[in-house]
Amino acid sequence: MIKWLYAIDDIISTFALSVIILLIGFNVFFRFVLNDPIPWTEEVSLGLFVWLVFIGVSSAMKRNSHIGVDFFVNKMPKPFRILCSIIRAAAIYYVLIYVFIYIGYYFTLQAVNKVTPVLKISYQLIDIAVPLGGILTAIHFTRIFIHSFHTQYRQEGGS
Amino acid sequence: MRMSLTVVLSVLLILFLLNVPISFALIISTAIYFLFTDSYSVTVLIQRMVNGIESVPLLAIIFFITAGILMNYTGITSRLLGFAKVITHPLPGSLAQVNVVLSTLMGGISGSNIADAAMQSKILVPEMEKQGYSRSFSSTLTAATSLITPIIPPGIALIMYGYVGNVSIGKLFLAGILPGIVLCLIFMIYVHFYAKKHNLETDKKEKVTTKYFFFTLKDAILALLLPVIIIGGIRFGIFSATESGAIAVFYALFLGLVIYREMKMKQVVSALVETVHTAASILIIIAAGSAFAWVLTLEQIPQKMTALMVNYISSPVIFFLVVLVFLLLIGMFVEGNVAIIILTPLFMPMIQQYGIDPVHFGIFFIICISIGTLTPPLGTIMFTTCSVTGTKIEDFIKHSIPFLFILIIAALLIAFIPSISLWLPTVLS
Repeated sequence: MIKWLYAIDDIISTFALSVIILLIGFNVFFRFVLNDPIPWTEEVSLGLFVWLVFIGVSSAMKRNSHIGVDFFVNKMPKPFRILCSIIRAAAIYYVLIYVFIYIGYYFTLQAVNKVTPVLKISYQLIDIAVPLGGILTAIHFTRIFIHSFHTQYRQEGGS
Repeated sequence: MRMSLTVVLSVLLILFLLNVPISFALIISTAIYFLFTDSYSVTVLIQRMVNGIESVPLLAIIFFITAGILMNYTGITSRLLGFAKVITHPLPGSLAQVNVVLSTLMGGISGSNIADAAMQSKILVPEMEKQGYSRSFSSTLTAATSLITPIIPPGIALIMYGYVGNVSIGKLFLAGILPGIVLCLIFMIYVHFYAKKHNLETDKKEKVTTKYFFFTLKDAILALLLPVIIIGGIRFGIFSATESGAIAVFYALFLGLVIYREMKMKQVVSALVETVHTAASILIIIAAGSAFAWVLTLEQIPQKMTALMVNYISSPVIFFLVVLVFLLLIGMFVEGNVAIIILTPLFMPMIQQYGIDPVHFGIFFIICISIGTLTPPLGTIMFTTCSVTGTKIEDFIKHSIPFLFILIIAALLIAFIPSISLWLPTVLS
């Protein structure tokens, strides 16, 4: 169960990716071979794409694959590096909690009357991926952040 | 208002230096802008990000990343390697030539150069060392030639530039082919003289039989067909540039599961998971970048910078030279895709002023920005190849100088002979 929850971000975003590939691929077939394109391909793919990206942010955080520049920080003396990692964490939490979760939630609430053109899917269903991604990413980031402090502490204790 | 922009840009720079992920730094600096303005609600920030993502051309990025990662599991690489060995067999320094040709061939099935550099470092560098090449030369050659990969279609950088700059991705794909081949030829010429000078693999070799040639060609032809299918399909209106990405994914699955039968379902799943986190880390930068670009547009920054540029520089020739130097410097510090997302909206009004074709400029832009991946302090390709092959960074830098020259010459050729990039798109569309 825990293992399943741990991988929930990967599961959601990989599912979204697979459905997008199948939809767009089949639509070429439907349009070109059967001359009968599926009208809702685009809106469903793009909705899933938003899910893929914002939930995928958590998958990327889990593996530390967000692109940043550690060159300058690594050149700094140790106390400064610790200060940097605290500021860095504060910046990341600001984005996750204030922007993704808080504003993202309000943004989702505002979309109450907005629907997709063909299937009339509520935009709330698409936009909710933003706060949800924020929550998942915050959980994984907290885990990584605590872990990094533990290892640093242990290194210092050992030397 | 000027004050607000200064704060926004300084915050961005500071966060960038403090190793905050680029996407997060862009979001924070955009959020700060909203503190200074009453005309927009802060939810516009999320709206800009989501709108930036909800775009069909961007789907192509995840498709081609998926296809590239899946291709690794199909067994196509070893077949292309076999073919590259056969066609370069009679040349002196043939294994180094293989390195160049393989990068070019891989360009047609994969869109990213890091994967290509890592793969060749693993399989070709040890083999080259056995034939007497120095390890640092082999590593630098591998790194430098991997820059061919992103400009040969399909390429992630081409799609990114096309999306941000609103340039036809189909045309960019066509435009990348000849510059890719030009780069390949320049590298081959250099390798030829290098091998002669250092007496590497210069003995007379047995001829490859025609039968063996066709045997390897048959193996490789399916891989070589993919770019043809993609470009042909787009050209004849069978599918769009975006859809061609989905076709590439199906093609990779077809090769791996049906033709070569080397791929397992478990590998398909792990390839998809790998795609998701690689793609998400790029796409969230695009989302954040489109919110940030919105602020820049609101403040009319691209227009102001264009006015400034035009004021000082009158000729397109000087403009190309200035951009080249600027991009070489930026490329040393900023990851290529990030630079494309942030700089393309700034360049677009400028090239319009100078009457430069955006397709032509795109190819030039991508080559220039990739050169920084070979140099310190942040050369991603340099670090990848050095860590795989165990080359010292100092040795790498020493050997990379001729390659940097070659790449700069290639960039200048592409800048000043527009037909290298524009001939194919004009003839074929």
